[in-house]
Amino acid sequence: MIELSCARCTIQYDAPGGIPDLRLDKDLRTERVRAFYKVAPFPGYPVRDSLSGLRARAGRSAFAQLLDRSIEGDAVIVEVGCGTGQLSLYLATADRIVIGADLSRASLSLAQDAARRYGLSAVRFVETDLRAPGLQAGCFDVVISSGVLHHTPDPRASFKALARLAKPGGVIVLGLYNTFARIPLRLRRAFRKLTGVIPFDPVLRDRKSEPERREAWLRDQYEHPEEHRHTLAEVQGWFRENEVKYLRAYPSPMLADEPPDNLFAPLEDDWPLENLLAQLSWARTLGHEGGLFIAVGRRRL
Amino acid sequence: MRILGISAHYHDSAAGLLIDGVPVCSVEEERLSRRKNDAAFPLLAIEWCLEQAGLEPEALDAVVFYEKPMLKFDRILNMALRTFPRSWRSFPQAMKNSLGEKLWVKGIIASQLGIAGSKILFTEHHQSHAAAAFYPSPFDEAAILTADGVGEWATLSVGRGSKARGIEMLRELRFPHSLGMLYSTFTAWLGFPVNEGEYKVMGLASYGEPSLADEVRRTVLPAADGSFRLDLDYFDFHASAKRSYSDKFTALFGAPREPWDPIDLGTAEGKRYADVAASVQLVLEELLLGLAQRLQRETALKALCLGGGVALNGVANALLLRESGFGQIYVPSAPGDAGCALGAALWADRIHFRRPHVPIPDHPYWGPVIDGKDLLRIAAEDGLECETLQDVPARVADELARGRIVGWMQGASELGPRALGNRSILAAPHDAAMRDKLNRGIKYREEFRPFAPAVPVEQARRFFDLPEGGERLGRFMSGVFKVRPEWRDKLGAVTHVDGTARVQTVDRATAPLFHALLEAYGARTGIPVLLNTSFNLAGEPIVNKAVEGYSTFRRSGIDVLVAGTTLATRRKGASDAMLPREAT
Repeated sequence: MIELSCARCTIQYDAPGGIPDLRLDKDLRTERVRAFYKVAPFPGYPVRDSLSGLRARAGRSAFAQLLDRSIEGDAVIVEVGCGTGQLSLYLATADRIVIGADLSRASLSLAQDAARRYGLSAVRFVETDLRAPGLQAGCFDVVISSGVLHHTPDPRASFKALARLAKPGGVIVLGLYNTFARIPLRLRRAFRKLTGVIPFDPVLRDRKSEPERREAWLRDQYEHPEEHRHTLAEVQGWFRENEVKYLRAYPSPMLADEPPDNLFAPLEDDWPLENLLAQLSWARTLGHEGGLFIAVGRRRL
Repeated sequence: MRILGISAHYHDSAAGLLIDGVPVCSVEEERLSRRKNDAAFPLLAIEWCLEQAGLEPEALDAVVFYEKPMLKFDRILNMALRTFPRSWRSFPQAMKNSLGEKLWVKGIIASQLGIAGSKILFTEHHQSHAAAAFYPSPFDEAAILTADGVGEWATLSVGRGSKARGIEMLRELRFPHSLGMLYSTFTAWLGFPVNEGEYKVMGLASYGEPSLADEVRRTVLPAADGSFRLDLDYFDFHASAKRSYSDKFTALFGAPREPWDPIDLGTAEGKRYADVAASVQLVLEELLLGLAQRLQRETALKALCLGGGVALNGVANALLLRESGFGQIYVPSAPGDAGCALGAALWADRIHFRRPHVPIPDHPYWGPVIDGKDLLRIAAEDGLECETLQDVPARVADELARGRIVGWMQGASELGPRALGNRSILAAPHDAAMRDKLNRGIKYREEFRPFAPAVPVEQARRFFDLPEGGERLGRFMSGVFKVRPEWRDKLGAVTHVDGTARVQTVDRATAPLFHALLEAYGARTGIPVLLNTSFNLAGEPIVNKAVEGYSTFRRSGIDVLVAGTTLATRRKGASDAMLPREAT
């Protein structure tokens, strides 16, 4: 067991199982979400898994590959809401340092075990609540949080806490449910409430032969106790409030734009009407995946 | 006479320039555009070639395209008709694909280069392969065998070449009967990307037993003329764009592998994939050997030139060298479509213009040249101090002997998919732990894929069991040979599970600096062998300029970067300083 203490004050933290517990106050809504993730940490790791297996699985996600290409080889990275840590471990290459933070100890244990199995030493997992993360503000080159803020009670306040973690000049990568892109799933969810049947969910159909992954999708998408949705304009508003310069969204909110080579390169154009039209089209293109989009910003110097 | 050769629109576009019968330069488009396996019209490569020779496009006497688009379109139309109504789904896409710029190549070349249409020539795909395989070879006369997926109609062709009299093509096998497509179908079924995943099938094959060879043979019917036909009931690549195997195929071999799930060789399922890979590899070898033996009897020639993508199969190449009756085999460094740019230019020069053969320098280094000063400048901008070395081999050998991983950029880049000592990642070959380190920090290859060794050609037989002619086949890493049993432990990082290695035999005259480095390393450790793998990260093309080398160096676990006489050392990993190792 490692005992950590804050460099600024005198608070001491326990680290049972090598995973420091940095959580301070505990409110009811957050606890409910925490309990939700306690049941079945997902995604798990295959038996006899290896780092190349993880890399192979990452081949599924063009976004993960793009993110990896865009981050410097010696960046200090924090992933807030890392779950079972697959992305954190994937990004922990070269001289990077990665901190994976999550609310759920059960997930973090899986992540920690995998890190040990892969022989990765520059990645560390901590149990924490993102609104009082217990991590030093202004110290990370890259702050990643995908699919997390929309499950917190007050996403806007959560973003404020998240943004503080980035160094001045550091990058924030934020993945959220999009208001428009989420419409198809919400329709399906409403239909399920009325009839008990889920009509045309392509992900469920794809995962027919994999009951565990199917169940995880069902829980995550249809039964989550806390969910919000956001427009790009709203996120741009959060960025402005927190001195974060908006760089781009992924997929590109420019109509007929090609996929970028660098996720951190600013978009050439940013027009509200075009953004809106693009988001409407996401209902079709992202709708089947649950409607998650990525917004990227850079904290001002 | 100045002839520009172009290959494009399938995979690995490239351009190459031939002046008075001798290649001047050639490069794959991907190395310049930085898009892996770039198949676009190779404008960057063409511009670079012309700039290299200081030529304006008007100064070209001919521009040769490596295949005949109309003939290819004819095949696509024909196949759509023959497989109707199964083909109706893929037909619109196939038309969209071929009716665009792929069909009007002449117009594109004429407009892009601003030259007269009369200067634009076309060779057939397999003629380009044959010329690329034969003319740069050291033989005055040789049999030629080319095999790939498909060009226009031909998928495999045999012929004989004479430097004095030209190339005579004897026979060809036509689509859909194709060795390349047979192998690619299994590549796709095994969940690997077609056209680049074939290496993985070959690597995986070493872990399996060819217990399903009879099942694979069932899909290939022998033909009366000594060649073969595919049993099309098992295949779907000729009728569908989506899937290359049919239901009957999956009934025979089981469900295809999910591409994103790693192969676990510890399970029965993983073992079965390895067995299927071993079986298709065996059948490919049998078919190739039969064809080569027959060609040898027919031509009574002593040497064989292999071309086409199938010639990248080093295991099969080595078998042909041992058993086909040909005492010498030559495989160019780029037997695939990229090499067809120069191949098409050579065909035009020797056959179309009937110009006499001129000897061609025997090396693979036809690409852009690296400048160490660029590295000096780029590193300085990034705040990293570099050293300028007096004795490059000595210093780099020291680093390697210390267990460092070295990014090595020297001279002109290699043409073809293999790094042959000019754009390589080098490391000590002794320990399997080094392989893991490379995989964990840089290459992320599947465990079943081996790394290759490089050795001075004079000392190759000390470590590797080479048949006669093995030194020559190994020069471009084209053959897989046994590592001598007594050395397998000391060459753990480069010895495959079946005790073999894809050796590069390094020739002093061809690659003097790399040769000197190997000797210097041998002087320090007693073993003049290095692990040599291509200088790129997973999914990226091989580095070309210093800037790409530097960026790769900074994003990976490479310890030392060398370009020319400039050496950069990685900053002490910040991670070591910040994270205390757990006391467990």
